[in-house]
Amino acid sequence: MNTFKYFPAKTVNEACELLSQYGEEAKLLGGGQSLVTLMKQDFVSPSYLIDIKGISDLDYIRYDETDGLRIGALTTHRSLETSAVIQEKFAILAQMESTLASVPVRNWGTVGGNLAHADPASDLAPTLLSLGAEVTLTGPNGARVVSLDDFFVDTFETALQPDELLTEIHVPNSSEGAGFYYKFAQRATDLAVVSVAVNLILDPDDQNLCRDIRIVMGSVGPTPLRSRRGEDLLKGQTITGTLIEEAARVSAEDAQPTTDINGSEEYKREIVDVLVRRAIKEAAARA
Amino acid sequence: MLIEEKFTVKSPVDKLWDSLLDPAIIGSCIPGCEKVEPINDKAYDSIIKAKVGFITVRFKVRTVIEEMILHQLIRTVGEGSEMRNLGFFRQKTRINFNALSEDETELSYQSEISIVGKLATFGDRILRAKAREVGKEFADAVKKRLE
Ligand SMILES: Cc1cc2nc3c(=O)[nH]c(=O)nc-3n(C[C@H](O)[C@H](O)[C@H](O)COP(=O)(O)OP(=O)(O)OC[C@H]3O[C@@H](n4cnc5c(N)ncnc54)[C@H](O)[C@@H]3O)c2cc1C
Repeated sequence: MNTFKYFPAKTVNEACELLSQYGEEAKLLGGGQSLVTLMKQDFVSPSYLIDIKGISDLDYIRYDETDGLRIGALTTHRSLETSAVIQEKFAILAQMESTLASVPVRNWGTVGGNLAHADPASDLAPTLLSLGAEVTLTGPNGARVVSLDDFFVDTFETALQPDELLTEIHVPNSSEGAGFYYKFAQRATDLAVVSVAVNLILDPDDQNLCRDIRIVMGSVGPTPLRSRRGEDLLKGQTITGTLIEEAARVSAEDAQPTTDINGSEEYKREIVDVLVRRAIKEAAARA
Repeated sequence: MLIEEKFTVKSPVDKLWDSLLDPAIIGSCIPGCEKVEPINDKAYDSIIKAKVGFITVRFKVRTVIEEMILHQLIRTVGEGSEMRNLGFFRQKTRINFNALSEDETELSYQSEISIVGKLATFGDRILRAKAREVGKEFADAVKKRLE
């Protein structure tokens, strides 16, 4: 590992200023669960490390009935998993967290770091996308809000500018529904080979009518992918077994998997098909 | 991993053939190629850069032409190492030329690439997805350069 200069930042402003000053030579350090591994193996060699774990203002989970859920970027995976309000209002998030790596990783890893890292196999990204989340990016000239749909650009690439921090995740209250996250991995603590997050909102007057749905697939493309065709098939319709099967089939077509050590492209499409079908049924059962 | 591509270039087969054997031209068509240096009439050294997000790797590659059938086939083998010792890379490529008409040629290639070392352990899934993109970019660059 290369030598680097270490700055413990105490405020968001201080971190932004350091980022502006050192540009591409600098890296933010959250829980270090992705970055430190990459540094140890010499994949990245920043000259300046800006440690933001000490910015306590960014570690919070707040829920409000009109505004929805706000999560500070430095909140750990473990805090999400064990939060009472999340378990009650957005249970899919807690359920997903219980499948993410191991408890020690969840104790250190932050939600901001997970999204900023933009690994196509992230568990958090598809789940938050299924909830229609948006993120706040803060730079030297202030903050901007970006829909998560526009945040992921490519493998390991996001809409973050070099002098910006991800500071907050917002899940609108309108996304309160019932969701389910399926992760298919070789071993429980491994990264997903395929994952599917479904969030379903039923009509309050007709429990068989789908008012809104989001179907998001992880690990089967450079970024998490929504199956808009699958969503459109169900939106505004009475949910039937045939429609669920059709939505799962088009989702498998929309996936962009690559053949690798974990399986062929065809095999992964087949898994998408199965997981989407099951996730919709599980979500409907919880609604 | 295998990268395959087949595409048509609006160029006569002899012109396409000469171009792909010209280090300057082939260098400008290979995505991320920073330098091509002929060693003799059958071998080239090159430096190829690949970037995925925040990770940038540079390979120093030696490519040797093993077989040529005029205006039909070029077969090469190559190997190289990542310049910060992140991995080692080997390739075998067949390029087939098929004259469709006087000014149109179908080009197809199959490249069998293997990567070992830290890069392979870390990023098999990512390298494979990226390789497919690189294959498409090469096809686009050849067309742009020659049409
Ligand atoms: C053994 C192991 C298994 C894992 N398994 C899984 C898994 O199954 N599923 C999964 O989703 N993840 C998994 N991970 C990844 C883990 O979830 C993430 O590494 C973690 O959430 C990243 O957060 P961090 O705070 O540790 O980020 P860091 O490692 O500190 O940073 C990651 C990247 O994000 C940048 N960054 C950090 N915070 C911010 C911010 N606020 N704003 C802008 N940029 C920022 C850093 O500069 C760096 O580029 C695993 C990790 C390990 C070590």
